[in-house]
Amino acid sequence: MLLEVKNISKSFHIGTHTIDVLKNISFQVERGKICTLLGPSGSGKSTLLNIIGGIEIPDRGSFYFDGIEISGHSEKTLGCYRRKRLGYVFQSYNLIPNLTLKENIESGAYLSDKPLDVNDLLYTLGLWDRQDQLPSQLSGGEQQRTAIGRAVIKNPDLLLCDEPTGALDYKTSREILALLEKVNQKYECTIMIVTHNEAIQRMADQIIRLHDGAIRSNENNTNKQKAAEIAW
Amino acid sequence: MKNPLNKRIPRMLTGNAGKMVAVLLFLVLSISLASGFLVAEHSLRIGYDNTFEEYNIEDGHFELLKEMSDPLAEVLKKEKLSIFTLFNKDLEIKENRVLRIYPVREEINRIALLEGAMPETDEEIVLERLFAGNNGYEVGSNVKLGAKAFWVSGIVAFSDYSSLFKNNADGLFDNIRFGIAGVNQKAFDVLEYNDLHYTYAWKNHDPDLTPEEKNDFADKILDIVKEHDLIKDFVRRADNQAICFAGEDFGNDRVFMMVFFYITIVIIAFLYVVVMRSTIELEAKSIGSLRALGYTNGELICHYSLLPLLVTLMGALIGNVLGYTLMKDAFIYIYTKSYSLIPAPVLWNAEAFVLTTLVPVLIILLIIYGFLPALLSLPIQKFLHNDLSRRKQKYAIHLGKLSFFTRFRLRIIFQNASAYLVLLVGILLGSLLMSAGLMLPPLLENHQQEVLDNQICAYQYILRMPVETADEQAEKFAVQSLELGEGTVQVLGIEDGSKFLPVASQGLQTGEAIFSNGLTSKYEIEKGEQLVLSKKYTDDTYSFELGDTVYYPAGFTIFISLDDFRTIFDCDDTYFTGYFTDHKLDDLEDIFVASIRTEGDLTFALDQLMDSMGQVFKVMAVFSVILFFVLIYVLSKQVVERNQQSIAMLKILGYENSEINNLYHVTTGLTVIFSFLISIPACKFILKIIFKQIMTKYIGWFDFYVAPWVYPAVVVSGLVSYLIIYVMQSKRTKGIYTAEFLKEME
Ligand SMILES: Nc1ncnc2c1ncn2[C@@H]1O[C@H](COP(=O)(O)OP(=O)(O)OP(=O)(O)O)[C@@H](O)[C@H]1O
Ligand SMILES: [Mg+2]
Repeated sequence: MLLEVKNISKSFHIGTHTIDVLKNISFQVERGKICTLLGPSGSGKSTLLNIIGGIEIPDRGSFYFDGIEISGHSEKTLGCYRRKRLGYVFQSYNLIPNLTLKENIESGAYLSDKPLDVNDLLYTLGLWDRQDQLPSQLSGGEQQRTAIGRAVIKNPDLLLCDEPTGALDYKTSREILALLEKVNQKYECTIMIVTHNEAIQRMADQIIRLHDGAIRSNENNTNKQKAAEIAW
Repeated sequence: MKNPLNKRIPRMLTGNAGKMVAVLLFLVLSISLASGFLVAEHSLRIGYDNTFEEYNIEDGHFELLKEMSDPLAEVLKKEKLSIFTLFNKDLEIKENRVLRIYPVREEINRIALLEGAMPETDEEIVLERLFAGNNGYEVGSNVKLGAKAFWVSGIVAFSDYSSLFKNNADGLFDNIRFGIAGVNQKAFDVLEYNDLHYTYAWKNHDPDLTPEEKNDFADKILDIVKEHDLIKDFVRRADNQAICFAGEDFGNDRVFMMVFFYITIVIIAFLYVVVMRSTIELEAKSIGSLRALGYTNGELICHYSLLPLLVTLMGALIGNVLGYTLMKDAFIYIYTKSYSLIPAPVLWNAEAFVLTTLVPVLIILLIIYGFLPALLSLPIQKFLHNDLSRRKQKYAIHLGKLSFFTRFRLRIIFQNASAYLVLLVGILLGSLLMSAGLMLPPLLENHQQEVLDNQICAYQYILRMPVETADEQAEKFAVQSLELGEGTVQVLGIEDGSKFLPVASQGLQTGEAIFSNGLTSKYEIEKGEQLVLSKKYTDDTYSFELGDTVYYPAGFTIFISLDDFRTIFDCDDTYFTGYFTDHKLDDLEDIFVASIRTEGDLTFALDQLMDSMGQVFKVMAVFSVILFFVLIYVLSKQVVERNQQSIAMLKILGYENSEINNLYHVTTGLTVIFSFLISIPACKFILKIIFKQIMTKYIGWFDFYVAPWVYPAVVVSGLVSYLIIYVMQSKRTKGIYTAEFLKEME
């Protein structure tokens, strides 16, 4: 089991007002699988992902990564965890504006003990021709592919994607999904995708639904499809 | 309707608090220094100019060998002038401390009472402020004049001694070893003395004479006096250093000060531009959507210039308040440490306001409004796309096979080129200011040492008339002061085979003249060139051909043979002025000796200069450290803020704080070091030029000398400022909290 989440709760306090964003969340994800996290807006998907990513600290509960407890550790340990084990992709691409595409990807490679080959990855991403361009000179899809490249080049055990297609059009979204599938197969990395696009779940091995901060359902997809076959 | 955007101003102010406070402080410091300086200078000048009438200052004075004869008095009565008796006695009250005592005068050269009361009884004395302060006297102290004890009833300023020159021929004034005092007539009459001066001052009846008429009139008086009585000294007011020196010194530093001030202001303006630019960049997407909604460019320009405008006005306000209070007092203190001035009320000074407030504010506005429209005038899509680069840059500069960190750092430098350029210019200016402030004290010390090492002899006797000494080693010389432009040149006639002057040991040829190095450097005279000098108050000119140059730092001097001297100045064959000697000459009677110049006299003048200028040097050094600090602080903070998003992203990727610091702060550090590497040679070059400029205006000459520790000290203080800021800033990188940041992004 790569990831084990146990009884995680999280609340935010605004003045005297308390919002319980996550209520007693527990689930597991197996190594090498694609897992989607679905739910309406405000249900706490990003918060959960950020907790798994070590960016946010849960109020209660714990989670284990590769059998080691991660929650409750210091900022430094969390940083090390992110650095060595995780990749992160966001809806907004958050590239470093004054680095070229290739350099943005290299900023990920630098962190890894076992990075993938940059040039090989650039081909896989379909970005070979664009490698010397700055983020502002790229389309949204290209920027997102770069962001995925930056996360994947670390050769992470777990790739966290928060609405990776949220800002993209239909065609480009499908390309990104195909890329994620390719990454999953080629580099055997586990992927968690947060989305509210119901169609994306069809390419997943595991589907978790959140509602109002609680898990509504957690099931394995018995009818997994190829990314290329998905349409919506 | 009020622009709703401006509700953001207080938040922008707190958001940028660190930078804005730094800029504000710096602005306040610059403006208060400049306005304090101008206000102090102005009110001292007004006060000084007013003394002439208010205190009825003489048009000149002369000193006779004894009291004025009746025939002379009769003749003078017929001239259009009034004569006032100003007898005075010099008395050594302690080792090396000479007081010149006057009876209290009511009519001419009146005395300003600063503290206490004027002497009423025979036991009371008033002392000039500087001498009293430098020697620990205050109201109520006791002073012993010979056998008689006095108590100090008041501290005063003498209107005819704003600079304490003991003799009008002295090179510099001396307010430690020489002071002025006043007692009542009865006490004066019975006072012991070393020297009694029969001095008479005159005041023209017609106050509206032109300088030429005054001079001609003085010539006439001189002739009359000479005709009747034996004259020891004759000084017109325009030549009286004790009266005029201070007035000439005011405002000498003014141009220098204002140039540095305006450069500082321009640097501040560019700091604003850099800060505004990064704000606009950070908010590019919002600006884009505001423009899309229909906000005009003008509204946005107004909005973004509001904050710098507020800070500038605040700085001008506080700066002026401080300028008129604290700084003015500080500058008055500096001036009154050297000069015995009569205080004048502080006047509202329109010129100072224009120069130190209006003009700088205009400069800043001009630069802000020059750059802002350009920053905001890009097409809306560019803002929405977060791409504010102006150039049609299709591809990023190719950086080849450098290591990833190196390339990353280079990208940071390219991205922040304008900020780093401002940093470079600021560091250059700061280094210039600081090295100027630091170099002058050792320069003066060095000069002093050189003067001592190259002095002609231990004692230089100037005689009132040629008298022989039996002392074998003493060597005769003759001296004549001549004028060269504003400056004075001593022509020294030296005996053949002089043992005191190695240059003359072979004997000087007839017609051969050797110039001191200062003279040839300052006036850029080449070998074989003629130098024409004139004699004061006459039309006589003398020309000397440069034969050789000798290193003689004490002053502008031309060495010729004693025989040549007698021929050139038309003296008889036995004429001489005094002696060079290794030790005191015991067989010369005091009344023949006009003065003895010793080692102490040479160095004392410079000590004095150091003492009065030292404060200014300190202010310059401190100011430049603050300049370094503010610049590095604001600009490095700006670089971090501009890249907050990237830094947060790097953190999420798993970069450690130390690595992020290594990327961003070390890059700034490298730029700081690079700036110093460029600044120091540039400083050397510029200082040399400025120094030369100053020396051509100055009456003397100092060799350009920078003590070996000066530049290292400048660099070290810059680097220490950087390190302090580095520590502060790396705490800040730590504080960029990732989760919050991601939310802001979306
Ligand atoms: N720092 C915070 N302070 C207060 N409330 C917060 C904070 N972060 C998130 N929330 C609240 O927690 C809830 C869940 O937020 P979260 O971002 O996890 O939702 P989400 O499921 O990702 O929604 P979406 O699909 O719109 O991205 C929301 O109601 C949000 O208002
Ligand atoms: Mg979300």
